[in-house]
This record gives sequence, C-alpha cells and structure tokens, in this order.
Amino acid sequence: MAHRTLHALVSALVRQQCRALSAEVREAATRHAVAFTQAQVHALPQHFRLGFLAALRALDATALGYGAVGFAALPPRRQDRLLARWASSPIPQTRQFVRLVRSSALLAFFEYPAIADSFERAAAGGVTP
Amino acid sequence: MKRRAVVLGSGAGGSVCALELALAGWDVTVVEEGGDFGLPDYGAASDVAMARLYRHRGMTPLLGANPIAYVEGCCVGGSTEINSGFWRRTPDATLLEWAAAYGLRDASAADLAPHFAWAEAELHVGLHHGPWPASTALFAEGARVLGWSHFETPRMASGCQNTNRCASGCPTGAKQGVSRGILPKAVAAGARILTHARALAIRGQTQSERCVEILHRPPGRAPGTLELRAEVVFVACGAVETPTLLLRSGIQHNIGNSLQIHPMLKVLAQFPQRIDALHSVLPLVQINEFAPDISLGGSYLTPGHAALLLADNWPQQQETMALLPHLAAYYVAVRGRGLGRVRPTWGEPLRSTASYELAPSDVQLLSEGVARLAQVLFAAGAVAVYTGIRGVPRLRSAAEVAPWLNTPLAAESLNLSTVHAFSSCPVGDRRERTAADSFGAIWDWDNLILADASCLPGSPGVNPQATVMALARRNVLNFIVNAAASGR
Repeated sequence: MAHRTLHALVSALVRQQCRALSAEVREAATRHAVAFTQAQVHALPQHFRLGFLAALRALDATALGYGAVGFAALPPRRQDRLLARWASSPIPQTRQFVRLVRSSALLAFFEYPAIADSFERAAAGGVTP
Repeated sequence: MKRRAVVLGSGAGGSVCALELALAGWDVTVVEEGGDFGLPDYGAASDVAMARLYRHRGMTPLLGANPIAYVEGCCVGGSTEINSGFWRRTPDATLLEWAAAYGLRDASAADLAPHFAWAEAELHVGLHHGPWPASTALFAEGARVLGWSHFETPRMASGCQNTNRCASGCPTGAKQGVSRGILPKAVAAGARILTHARALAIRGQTQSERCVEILHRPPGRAPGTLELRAEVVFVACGAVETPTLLLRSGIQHNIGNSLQIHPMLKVLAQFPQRIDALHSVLPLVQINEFAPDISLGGSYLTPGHAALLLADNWPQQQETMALLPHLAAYYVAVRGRGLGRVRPTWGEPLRSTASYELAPSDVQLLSEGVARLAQVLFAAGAVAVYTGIRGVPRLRSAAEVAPWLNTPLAAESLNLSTVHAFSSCPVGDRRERTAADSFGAIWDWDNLILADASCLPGSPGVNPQATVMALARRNVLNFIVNAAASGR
C-alpha cells in the first residue's frame, strides 16, 4: 500500500511534465523517481523513516474521508488539492513530508536519462519537452 | 622505524595533513569512510552521484524550526570532489575577529599567506580561461548597472571545460578536488588510504599512543572492526562528523555546541534570450557590495536542480521547466549568526544529528539578500525571478521585493540550503570558548589535533575551503616541527 501511495504521489507531481515524450518513458521515469525517493527515505535516521511511513498512511486515511480507498484511488484533481493542502498545512511535519517527496522525486524524475536528454535537446535548439 | 600518524578524513584538511606528514617521513594511514572513485565514476546524473559520493545520499538535513538542506561529500577527497571549486582566502577582518574573540594566535593574514599560496599552487587556482558564459556576463552586467562591487571568483579548475558537472565530480579532472593532486602526492610519499572505514572512537588520552577504533565495511565483504595505533591522530571528518566522533570518545569540552553555517537561498532567473546554463560552467561572478554579511553569486543548474528550486511552489511553477534554456540559477548566502548543535543520533549513536536555529538577523539578512539578488537580476534583464520562498512563486519586477529590504520574510517560508558548515569545535587560546588550542590540539589530550572545518572559530563569510586548508597546513607543520624538536 505504501509503495502504491508513493507512486501515486510522484505521478501526481509530474503528471503535467514532458507530455511530448511517450507514456512508457514517463512511467519509467516515474518509477525511477519512486525508487530514488524510497532510497532517500531509507538513508534517513530511523525515526524519520517511521514518520514518513506514518505520513503515507495518514495520506491514505485522509483519502478515505473522500470515499476513496487510499490516495492512489482519488481522482487527479482531488489528489492535487490534497497535496496542496498538505504542502501549506500549519503542521510542520506535514509540510516537510511534502517537501521531502517533492524534492527527491522531482530531482530524480528530471535527472532520469531520457527526461534529462529531452531537456538537453531542447537546450540545443530542439523541441521543448 | 617510522613514527606513526593517523589522519581521519581525506578531504580538504585531511589531505593536507597526510601529504605534509608523509613528506616529513611519518608512516601515515588516512581513514576515509567513503569509497575511492575515479574520473569514469564522475559526472553522473545528480541522483546517481548523490548515492555514490555524498554522505547518506545527501540526506543530512540540519534540523530546527526551519530545517535546512545540507550535503557533504563522503568519498576520497571529501567535499572537494563535489563543490564548485570556488576559492576565497579568509578576509583579514575575520582573522582579526577570531584573534580577539577566541584568542586565535599566529593566524593573521601574513601568517596564513604562505599556506594559501601553497594550496593555490597545488590546486592551480585561477580565473576562467575562456569567455564568460551568458549567466556570468548578465550577472556582471546587472551589478555594473547598479554600481555594485563584483568580481570573478577564482576557482581550482584552471582547465574547466564547461561540463556543468561540478556537483557530480568533475569528469574531465579539470577541477582539482584533492583526489586529483594532493592525495596522490601523499600516497607517492608513502601514505596509505583505508577506504570504507569509519572511525568509531579514539582512546589513549595520556598514553604514548592513541588508538583509533575503526568499523571497516569494504564492499562485498563482511564488515569488521580494527584498531589503528599511532603517536598522533589528526581529526578531519568535517564539521558534523568530527564532533560526534569526539563525543563518542568521551571528549566534551566545547564540542558540538557552536555549529555555524552560511544559510543560502537560491532562485531561478528567466531571461528573454537563451542562457544554455546546462552547457556552461556555473555563474562565476560574485557580488561583494554587501559583504561580509551578504554574498550574491551563481549556482549549478541541471534539469533536476531546476525542479528542486521550483519544488516549494510546484503547482504554480511547474510550467517553468519548459523555459529551461532561458534559466540560470543564483543564490544569496549570509553570514549566519544563529547557532547549531551536533550530537550522536538518538538510537543510532554511530550517526550524527545536526541542528541549526536561524537567528532573527539571519532571516533579516536573507530577506534583504534575496531582494538585492532580485534587483540585480532584473537590472541584468531578467523578465522573471522564481524564488525558493513558499507562497512567492514568481517575481516580475524589482519593485515587488522592495519591502523585503526592511521587513523580514517569514522564516518558515524560506526553502534554505547550505554547503558550508563549520565551527562545531572552535580553536583558539581562550579555553573557555574553545575545544582546542590555536593549533588545533584538543585540550588535555596528547597529540589529538583538529584539521577541518569544525575548528574554524566562526563563520568566515566566504567559501571555507581555503581557510580549512591553510589552518590544517599550519597545524600539521607546527606539529611536525615540535615533534622533531621534542624528539619524541
């Protein structure tokens, strides 16, 4: 469940990105970003790792309030609104959870070779990704 | 039989100690926690490089009311392998401050000049050899328009080929991380480097030899512990790891209580013309109009780093990624007045936890600094500035930032980072304020000497690598001379 939730979270972050690339490439980059985020979380001290897992569960529990079985089952627009609410939450741990996922996942997604190459091509005068 | 020395850490400070000790005829073992990588391993994508070259994959935040992203190298060469290669001597005024406040003696600008000159020759420090990239030229033009003092910062990358890979290890070898020249010279002089080895504790306070307990974790083999015995131990594990090692060793006096940093806020500037920052060296000009408290300069940019800078306002800013050829990254860094602590992590004593609380003046300086940064970028022709400030996704004109010159932003809205941490074990002859004497010798210990950023008495206000190397060389040469004279 946690992996599925994290995958949905990362997918929501990059949903609008690199639309010129194939769905397969974008999905591969998303999976890469999920794996990288998991590895980054694993590199944190244990109490942060536990806090991260708790936050993922809390995200799923919040989704239940909207009648969905987990964050991954929410419609995209609802996912975006929920993420935006957590990102500006008065609870620091909630904000930091979103910041951690965003920073790790976005870094890895845009450093994924096929994605980074598309920006390199654009920088060299090609089509904007 | 040669006299034995152990150097803990192979970065800016440790490498200098290893070389000088080996040249003086000592039997030197360098203990490095990370691996030994070469040019073929360098220049990888940021996520790969973080896993390979950074401590805990870059997940070493400074905790506090407003957590601050902090990274450091964990490989042979330490952070010199992953920094931008900028080189600044310690300002004279800073050295005077340290002498007055901490009793740091024999460390005036004149005292350190030969050590700076030595390091600059070893690292081929100089100016960029080719024409300035657009991101540099525009920044300089903005400073010129405003009449602000600015200069091209020397770097230890005399043959830079604009690969834009500084933070992943320079793949051409142009940047002179200490693994390029200084450590090979130390090895040629007889030093050994033990990689994948973490110092657990140091014993033998008053005995003739110190004993370093090591956890050795070579890849593909079972981990084991070993002990290294030596007449002298130089500790150069960095501002975060050195204090926890000393605390684990039972040394507590002024250890880990005074961590300082240069808090940094980065922005992306959008220009009407193409910048192509992905294919050029990072902006080379720094603005010192507001020094020593505020420094403005340029930063490394890849697609991943651009996304990182946009992350805090991602829903509003994500379309900006399509503008990447027109973007360049810049920073404001301030001389922090806040204070941090370093302790072994609760429940994981072999790990370090560092914290830092921003002082109100830090927030004021950062607010003023980002306003100044936006001013110079708009003067340079930027059409938009994307900030790392939550709730302030995009600036369209310098007028928008005028209030920040006098009214600080909310601290919790700032997405801060730093690559400069120091002063967790300050040195100087004022024992009540310091962990070690002016030459880095830990109080009440025989031959246990600090030689890294932890021993800076305070914030240098400039990139600290030159200061670290000069003080380390001064400390090790002082030890070698005294050891020879004492005949021990």
